[in-house]
Amino acid sequence: MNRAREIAAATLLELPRATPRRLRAALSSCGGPEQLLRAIADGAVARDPEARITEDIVSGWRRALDAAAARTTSLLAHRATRVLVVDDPDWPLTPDCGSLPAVLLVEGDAYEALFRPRIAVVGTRNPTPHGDADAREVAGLLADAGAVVVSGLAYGIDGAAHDAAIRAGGLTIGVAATGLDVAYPRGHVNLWSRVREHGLIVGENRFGTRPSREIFPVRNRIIAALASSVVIVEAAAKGGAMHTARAALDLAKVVYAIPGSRRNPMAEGCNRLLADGAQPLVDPLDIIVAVGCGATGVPSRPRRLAGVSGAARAVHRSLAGEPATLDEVVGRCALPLASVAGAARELERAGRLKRSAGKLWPL
Amino acid sequence: MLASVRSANLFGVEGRVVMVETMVSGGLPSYSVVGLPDTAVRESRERVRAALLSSGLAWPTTRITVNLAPATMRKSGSGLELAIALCLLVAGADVAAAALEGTGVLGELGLDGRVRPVPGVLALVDALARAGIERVVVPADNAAEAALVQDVEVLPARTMGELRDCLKDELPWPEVPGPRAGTDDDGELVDLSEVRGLGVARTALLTAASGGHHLLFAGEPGAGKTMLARRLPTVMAPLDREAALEVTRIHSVTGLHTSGALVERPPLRAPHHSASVQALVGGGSAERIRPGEITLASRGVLFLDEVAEFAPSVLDALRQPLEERVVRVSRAGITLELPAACILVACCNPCPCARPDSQCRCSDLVRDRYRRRLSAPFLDRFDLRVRVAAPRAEEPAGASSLEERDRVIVAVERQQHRLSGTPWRRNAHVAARALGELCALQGAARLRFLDVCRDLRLSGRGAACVQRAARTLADLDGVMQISDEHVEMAASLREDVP
Repeated sequence: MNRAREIAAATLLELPRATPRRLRAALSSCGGPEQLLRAIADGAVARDPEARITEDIVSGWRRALDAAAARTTSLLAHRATRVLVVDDPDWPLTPDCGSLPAVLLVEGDAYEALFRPRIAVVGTRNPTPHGDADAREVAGLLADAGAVVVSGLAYGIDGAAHDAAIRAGGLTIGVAATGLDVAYPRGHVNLWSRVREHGLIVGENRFGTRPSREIFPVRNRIIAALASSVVIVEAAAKGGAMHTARAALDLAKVVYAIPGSRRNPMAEGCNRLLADGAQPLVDPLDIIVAVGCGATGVPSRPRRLAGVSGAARAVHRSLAGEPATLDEVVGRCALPLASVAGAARELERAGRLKRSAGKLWPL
Repeated sequence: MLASVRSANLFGVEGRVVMVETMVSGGLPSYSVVGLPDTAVRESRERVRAALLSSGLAWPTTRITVNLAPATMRKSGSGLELAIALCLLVAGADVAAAALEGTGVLGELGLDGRVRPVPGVLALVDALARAGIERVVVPADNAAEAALVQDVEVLPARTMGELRDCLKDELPWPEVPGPRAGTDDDGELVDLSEVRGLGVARTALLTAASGGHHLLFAGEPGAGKTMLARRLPTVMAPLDREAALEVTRIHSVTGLHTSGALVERPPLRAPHHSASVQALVGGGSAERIRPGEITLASRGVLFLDEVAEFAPSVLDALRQPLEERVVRVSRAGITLELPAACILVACCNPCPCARPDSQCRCSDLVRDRYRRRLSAPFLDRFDLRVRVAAPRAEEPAGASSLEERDRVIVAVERQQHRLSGTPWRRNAHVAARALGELCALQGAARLRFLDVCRDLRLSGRGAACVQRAARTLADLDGVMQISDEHVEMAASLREDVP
């Protein structure tokens, strides 16, 4: 793939109302991005009522062409961006109908991530500590087994999945809804740069695209199309993770959902997916087996508490897998408050408990 | 004819001695007041004249000049009227000047010659006593309060006519009445035994009461945050005489205190969340600076319910007073220090919709915005931050306020013993540099403290907070050494909320 072709492809994204559907139709009729640009300049783009390429659109493209080319050339001169076009040999998305992007912008240090098995790990932005721990566990196992963890760079499950994959020494792909130069959310600027170092950031929108409400659900279909299967860790009944699951089902990908308590609103989405026939992910190791990418045989998590005091064991047992307040634990264990507080800290230190919103969450 | 009488005027929550001088001279009838009087002082003319006439006393129909010294200090309020009237009596040779020698005079006049009470008598008499005055004439309604000042003879005045006769020794002085009972004990009596369960929050409450730590409760509505916070004064040690005098003086200045009895219970002030900066930290005009809620709560509790609903600027204005335990108010040409040694107790919800976790649908953006209303430096002022979850109905009732207060009193005594000779009174006040000496951690406690600091990634200030709270917990348990459990408990009482 040569640079001129890449610049031509990126220029297409700058054109007004250049939707994926229109670009796909125009690219397939002209044969490639450079040819398409030439056709636009000559006004020779085939009108296509089915793809909504009308006279208006074509003349709009023609007027914007020079500015778009100039902007793209100067932008790409300073960025190590790879631009992929549909039908490229490296094209990572499932071949599909016109709703998937025709051009992808890719930035990052690990281009090989596009040639490895990829699994998406997504979920709510407001996870419970259990959801956070599950996301880390699944992503860590996948990374360990050599799979690439794909997610959406958002707060919550997405962030935990990227982070765990990087910590496990694996690769990860972040799919951005904004332009690749607009790190969003702001609190994840650091995560963006870490994902660039240990993987790729992928996006379909032109540089400078600001976050807006509509672009996130649209982005989720790329996550589904990039991955061979999708793991939904925790999801509310409505939300981005459910979009991803639906897109994955449309693309005939396997959707795994981690079952949760019916009392947990953040498990409602997953439980609904399971009721609708998604694969239950009861043990995170199952995903390794299902993916079939060289399981390392690492046990997913020590089930037994080892090396903690009797009080800590009693506290952990009294929680029985569910969150509870310190006061409730004191009532159950018949231990003084100070000992329970000490035991809770001990469990926290051992990574078997997390405090959140005044509750103790056993892990 | 020249005459002078000493009186006093309020300046913040302190009194300042004012010399009232009158000159009655020949000329057309006139009455002028000089010496930076405010409107209330200037209007005294009508009240003084009517009071004298209706008491059957003479009103000089010549030129009257009233001077209030020192001339550069602004005078306000009606408390100088009685002094002006007596000055005129002396100037008219009705009362001998010797009768008012070494006497301070306070009081407002009614048109019928009645002497009306004035606010801030305790502060005013205190100022007069410090200026070497041995006798004070005060309105009879204020006499009990004035009698709280030691070494001053209190002379109650009921009416202008009676006062003149008493001064001329034609009548005996009336008895000083005792304080009126019970009028300042507002609100129903609450007790900690009404609170079920909530062991952690209770511990935090007792720790705050003993060590003077600021306390934040976060939790769903109905969990019992407000109930607990309102009961904080009931477990605090009663005020010692010095503190009681300070509180009585401040409350009297603002007119909150009218019974004349010494306030012995720590005050609780609960301003509404629409309060302004001036209402909370004090302010007003240069003529009359009014103490804010934080000063009224001094030696007691300032309770901010729904703290996230307060304007952020108001909360941030509290930061400096909470740290230094005094408020500095500056107005044109005046700077004033008001006491602000209160315990701050605040309550907030975990999110703006304040529904239980399972029903809350607040987006993280909305939650985040809500959380941001409380700035990090403001949150840092709270040594104790506890998440409160509603107890189940079958939880047993806890110990009563009286039982818990006995523990607190012992803990306070231990602190006073340890902190004697330092500028601090409570563990929460101890400066970070003195913590090594006054809140020493040894052996297992020291190791645990280092662990906790690392695990919770505590800042320097956060670590100091944990150390102070651990000291208070040890005081509550009545032990000399801080144990590792105290450290652990102190860390548990400093949750990351809201």
